[in-house]
Amino acid sequence: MSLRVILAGFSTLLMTVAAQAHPIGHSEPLPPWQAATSWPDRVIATLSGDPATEFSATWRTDISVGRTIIQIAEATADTRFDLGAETYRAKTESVDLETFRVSDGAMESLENVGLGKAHYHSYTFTGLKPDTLYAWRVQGGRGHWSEWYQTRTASTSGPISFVYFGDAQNGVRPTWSRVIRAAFQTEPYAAFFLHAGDLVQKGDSDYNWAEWFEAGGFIHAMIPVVPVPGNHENITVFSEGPSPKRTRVRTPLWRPQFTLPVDKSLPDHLQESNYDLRYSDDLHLFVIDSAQDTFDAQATWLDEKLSNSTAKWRIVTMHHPYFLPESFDRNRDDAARRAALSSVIDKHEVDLVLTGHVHTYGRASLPETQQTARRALGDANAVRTVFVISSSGAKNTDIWSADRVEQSVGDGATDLGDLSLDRVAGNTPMFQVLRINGDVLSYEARTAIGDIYDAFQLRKTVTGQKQLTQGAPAFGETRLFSNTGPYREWWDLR
Amino acid sequence: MINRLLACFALIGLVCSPALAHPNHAPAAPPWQFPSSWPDRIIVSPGKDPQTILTLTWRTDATVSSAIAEYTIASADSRFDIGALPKAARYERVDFSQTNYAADRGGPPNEGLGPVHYHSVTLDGLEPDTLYAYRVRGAQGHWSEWFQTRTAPTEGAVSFLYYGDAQYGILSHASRIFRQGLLSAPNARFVLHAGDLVNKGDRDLEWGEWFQASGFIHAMIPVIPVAGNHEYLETPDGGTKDGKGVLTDLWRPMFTLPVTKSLPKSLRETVFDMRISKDLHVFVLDSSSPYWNEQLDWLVATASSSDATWKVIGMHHSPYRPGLQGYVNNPDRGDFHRARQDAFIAAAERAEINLILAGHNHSYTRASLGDDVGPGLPDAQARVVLGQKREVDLVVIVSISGAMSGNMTPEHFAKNKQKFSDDISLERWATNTPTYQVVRIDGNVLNVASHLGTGEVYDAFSLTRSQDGTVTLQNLAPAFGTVRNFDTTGPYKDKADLR
Repeated sequence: MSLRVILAGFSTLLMTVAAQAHPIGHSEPLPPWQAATSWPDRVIATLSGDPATEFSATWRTDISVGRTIIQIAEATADTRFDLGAETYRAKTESVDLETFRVSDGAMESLENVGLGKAHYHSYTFTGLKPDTLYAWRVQGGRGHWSEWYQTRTASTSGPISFVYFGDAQNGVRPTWSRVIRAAFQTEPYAAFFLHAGDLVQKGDSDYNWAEWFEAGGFIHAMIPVVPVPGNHENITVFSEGPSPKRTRVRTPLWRPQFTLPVDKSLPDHLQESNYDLRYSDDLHLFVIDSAQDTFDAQATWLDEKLSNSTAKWRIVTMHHPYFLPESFDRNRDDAARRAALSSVIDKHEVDLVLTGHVHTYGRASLPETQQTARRALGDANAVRTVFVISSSGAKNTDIWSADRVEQSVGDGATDLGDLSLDRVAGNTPMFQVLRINGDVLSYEARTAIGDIYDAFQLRKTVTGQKQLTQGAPAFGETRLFSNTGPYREWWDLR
Repeated sequence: MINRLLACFALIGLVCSPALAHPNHAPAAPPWQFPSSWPDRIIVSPGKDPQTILTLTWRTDATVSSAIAEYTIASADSRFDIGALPKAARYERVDFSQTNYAADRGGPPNEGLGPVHYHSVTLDGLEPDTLYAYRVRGAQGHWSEWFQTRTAPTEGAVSFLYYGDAQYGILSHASRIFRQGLLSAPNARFVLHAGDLVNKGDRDLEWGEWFQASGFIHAMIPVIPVAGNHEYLETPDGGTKDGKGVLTDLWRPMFTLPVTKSLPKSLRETVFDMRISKDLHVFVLDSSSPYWNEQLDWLVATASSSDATWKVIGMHHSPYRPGLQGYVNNPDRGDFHRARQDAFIAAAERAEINLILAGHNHSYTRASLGDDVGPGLPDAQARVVLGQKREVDLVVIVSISGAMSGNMTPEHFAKNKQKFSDDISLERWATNTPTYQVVRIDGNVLNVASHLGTGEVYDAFSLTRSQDGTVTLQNLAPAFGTVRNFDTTGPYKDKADLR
């Protein structure tokens, strides 16, 4: 045996040992895309104030990185656009991944045993120029920089597009990755990507979040993210004492991971989860944390916000849907939520309500006048609000039977109250592209292979009324479990 | 003897320490450089027939010797993956203690890195213009995500991206060019990197940066890499400069590219052609190889028998060398290059090549060759005006994606041009300006847009091919904007501070 062979064998052995040594308590090493290091990862851009002049960056390192910095420069076409970049000190939060402690109690996360703590760093850039491309990068340990990411601030007026995703939740890295990347290919200049709750299955699981960040990769850092919390972003904590009380609270990973608007008029538990973003004169977005038990306070907040909003298009997003087939309406919370919010949404004639939760696709509208006949291509109908349920992950629920769709769509869906069910799909992860150009909002729902499955246009008249025109894709064959490929639950996806 | 062996082990232990420790404890090395039993550096490339063949290549540590891929036609279903077909991978072991390295550096550049395995699979018998989903596996259960990638179409419009040298600031700076390119051409059919992807072709860290800079793009949009002189290692007797270097041992494991059997063995996976579609035939040359005339003979034979509407060459060195002082000042080297260039132009004309995509000069230049191209720059006034068309034989583009800019000027160009040919006209140039190019082919029209790092279009032209095969060039509006050079742009700093 030559020395070279011995040495090669030895170094292989050492590498193997090293690979298995981490983390403590796991027999198997963490996937490289999960383990925290002194290099920045999970880098994400979010909107936390005025999108025309501010955006935030958040990133993660291991706990060896105490204080660190961020840099920003206006992106130019020069080779060294980075000369003269400004440097700022980041805010750092330490998160104990193994034991989550909140005011209502604590949770031992069995998902995170052996992971210890991680540091999340963040910074909000302010005083930026509207509609301007910026380059920014973040540091972990000294000299451990990310690449330069380019992110554009909002324009105060003009066309806007954004992408909206329903629940990613299951098979996030294996299969949802293709959905977010297809969305990026479809709408690369989107102003933001909106995730309508249940981003992951287990809100406490660092592995689950690692999947979510890995699936988006650098997209998360280029296109600002608007995350909406869902019920799966909640965890269960137990109070201390002889008779522990069980409470559902938002995962303590949410706020460190995402830097979002803080609204002091709301209770503490809604900070960075219930917020509004006035994107431009044409778009005002209202995010409702529908997984909390405080609908009345949130309805009051929404009412005030909508009363003061002059934006042309006003969109509410929340995880739980506003409409559901009655057969699926098992959760009385949903009814309570609707009761609290429906009058506000109706009063202000909110244009769109974007939701998730049901792991299916459904689009319904509230007509200004009762419809009897099914709408035909090219017809324009006056509507008050359009409601969408969508899902982008691998889990899908079979709730639309062929009979039911025929009945619902054909008869104006009288079983949904006053709503008219315009388009449904089963077994089909989807992403939606919304484009706003003055008085016209164009919507399309696309499948993971990029095909347009559903489309409509809303046009605002001078009197403020909305005319809904169905697009041709809305009249294609309905995708259901009965006429698509085989389905299997997501358990085997890793 | 035992003592000496132990000493050796201790030494190796020290040398290996960056790899041995978890990335947490290895301050100098980023975590994305290290191999693991999970797949990384995943890249898809077109096969010889891009309509029916795609190749997949990925890396793991040396613990993984039986990797597989799975693939299926992508559908809109939740579980599109049910029924995917497995395919066993081959692997090539890269032992950094054995790989070649440049003679001008004292020792191996990859100290401390253990051996790695590059796995590859060729998917053949695919359907044209079809979206496929695939994933690759390292150790048991260690799968990549499912990537979606599309085979080339038999006919119809095709667009693709082309990048010049990344080389310096690959992750820090060139990444924005690669990603901005995807924004401008999200449905590009392939991405061509025209050589000098890295600065030191034998250094794993730089390849780690190169893969990290594009991330999942490499696994979605098939990549055609071209070998440049920095993928070659300089030999003690004159380096690559006179065509005597050797290709880095990392190239063939990292990429799975067509082998042209009729050419010398040293050109396998660096010289090949791909008939993308009815309208487009791509030829990749290895301009750093000593076997130049062999490549040109092959080019003439292959391209002349091609009935594609457009014939495009990707090669690292452009057939002229604006801004390269050595060319002017060193007659020996000048003669060497000139001989190669003259031979190339003769071959390209015989092969009826329309477009050459090159790098090397760290600047942006676009030039036309032909009998009737006019004086061109630096006499900018004489240049054809917006809207006018004229016949050209060949268009040559040189661009740069990385963070080192050369200082080519029209004066350099004119000086070199005299040595080269009068039938060449410089249409547009820039320094201090990384760009990416989107090439769109639709039947008889080929459009090129050169974008800045901010996405704006800096240069644009179209080529139109008539029935009789003549090609007319039309400069489009962006070609007439203010010239970007060191006087008209922001400050520049040499690459020394870049990681």
